Amino acid sequence: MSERANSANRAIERLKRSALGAYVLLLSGFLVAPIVAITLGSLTAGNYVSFPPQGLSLKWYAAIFSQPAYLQALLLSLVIACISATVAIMLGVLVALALHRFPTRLNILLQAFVLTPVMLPSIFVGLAFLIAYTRMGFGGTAFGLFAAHVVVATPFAVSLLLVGVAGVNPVLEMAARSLGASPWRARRLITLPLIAWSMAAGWGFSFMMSFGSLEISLFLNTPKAVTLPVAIYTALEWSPLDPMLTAISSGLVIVTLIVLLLLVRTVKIDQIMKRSGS
Amino acid sequence: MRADATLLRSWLALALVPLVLFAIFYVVPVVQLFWLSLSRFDPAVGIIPAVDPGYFFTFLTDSYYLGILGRTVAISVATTIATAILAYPLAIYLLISKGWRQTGLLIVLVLPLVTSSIVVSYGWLILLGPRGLVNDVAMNLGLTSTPLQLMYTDTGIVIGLTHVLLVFMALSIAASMQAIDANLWKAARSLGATSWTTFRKVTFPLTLPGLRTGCLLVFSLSMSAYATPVLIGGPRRKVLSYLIYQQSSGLLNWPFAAAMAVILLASTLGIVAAVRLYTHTRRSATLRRAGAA
Repeated sequence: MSERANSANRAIERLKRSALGAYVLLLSGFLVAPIVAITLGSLTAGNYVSFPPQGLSLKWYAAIFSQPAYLQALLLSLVIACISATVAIMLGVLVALALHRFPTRLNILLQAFVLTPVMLPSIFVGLAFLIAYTRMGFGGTAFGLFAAHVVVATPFAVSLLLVGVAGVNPVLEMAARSLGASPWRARRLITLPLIAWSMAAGWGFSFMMSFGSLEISLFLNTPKAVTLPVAIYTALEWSPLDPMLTAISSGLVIVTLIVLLLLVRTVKIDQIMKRSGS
Repeated sequence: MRADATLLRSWLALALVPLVLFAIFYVVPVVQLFWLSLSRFDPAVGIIPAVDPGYFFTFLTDSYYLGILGRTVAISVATTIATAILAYPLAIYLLISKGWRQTGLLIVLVLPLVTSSIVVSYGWLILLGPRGLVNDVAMNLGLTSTPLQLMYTDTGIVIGLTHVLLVFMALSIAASMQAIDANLWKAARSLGATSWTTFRKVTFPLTLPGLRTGCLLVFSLSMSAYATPVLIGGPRRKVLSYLIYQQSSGLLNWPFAAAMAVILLASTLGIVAAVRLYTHTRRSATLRRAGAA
């Protein structure tokens, strides 16, 4: 009797599991749908955007090369994302070490300065950048864009680096100090290699955030400095059904996807889950 | 005292550069925005420095602006509810699955967030249009005879926002679920509770903090979203963030745009704080009752 009840229970348990699996599959489809639509839609041979595509061709990718404005925008976006992710990681290491190693009240100030940019509405921050940077004299320049992207990317870098720093036993650094290493030497030789994975992950995340950022760039763009998301946004207002736009957009998707897949290999998911739980 | 001074010095060695850079490039701009929201604007003259909350009154006494604020709040509430319902099973799956299944779901969840919002919204534009895939399928299945109007509607905006923000809800719930002591489940089962009762009486109440964190996060992010509501909603279904952009970049009225940005921030923070306060007082009331009993 109890044997039969047990096997019935197991069957119900299996049924529940497969129902959950089916649900997750369905929702995954929902999550990838618009990105798949863009990528496949760009392969159309027709003259307007449709999904599923009509015929297959790469002609819209070839068409991008006759439009230097988009290539320039792509280049600017890549350069800004690379530089600002690098600066964000350098600042992020300093901030994460200060926050984690020193139990001082002043850390509240550091958190308020460095971690809040992503908590405020991006439209609010973008407008603030527009107002202040224009008055400071670098409103419509690449430098203004770059400064804004660093500000917005750093909080992501810091939160990933905090996970990395929390996983390092501080005794290791003290041991190096007791053997005569200076604080910076101990950090460079002991701590940095141990948090390298979180630096890589933080760099990748900051890169993606900067590369895809629309709102911040929208306020600071000028005809001289247009990033790719802004270029797409502007073009969408005029000709949303131009297949070349889907080709450019899927270029953006491909860059993001490459970085994301590289990121997944470096990131320690269990450490991040543990951290967000505490 | 000396120990304090050394501590401060080594803290400053790390924190000084980030502090100074963020003061110049972030804190000063934010302060300037608040300050400018009290100025006036004249199309002929430009910005007139003043200390005048006039634009706040303009906004808060005009039914047009208040209507847009109300719709922004309504869309955000709907998105929050939709993500909470859809994400809960995902969080369970994130915890019980291992290896590539877990990693795969995480990638799929993060993908809409890290892909440029403009590209994702463009994708929805293709799918939700009158001749898009969603309508094709719905009409072929005979669910509807005329194309569903999804583009340029609030429903479309909620679908787009739910899609991008699902990850925040799923991770918040999963985090609180992971923190549950597995012995509680064993105890409940050994006392004869069915798995449904265990879920209802043990698991669900313990994930409420995570659910609350997720809701507040998704709500705030929906309030300030830009690309999704603008592209899916279009100019006729305006939200507050679009109004801000239009006022500053189209009409160059920075003071009014700044005032609206302050209103956006204040209403988001106000609602978040109210929910926190409400759930907090309710929890302490429950604790008091439990203590008295």
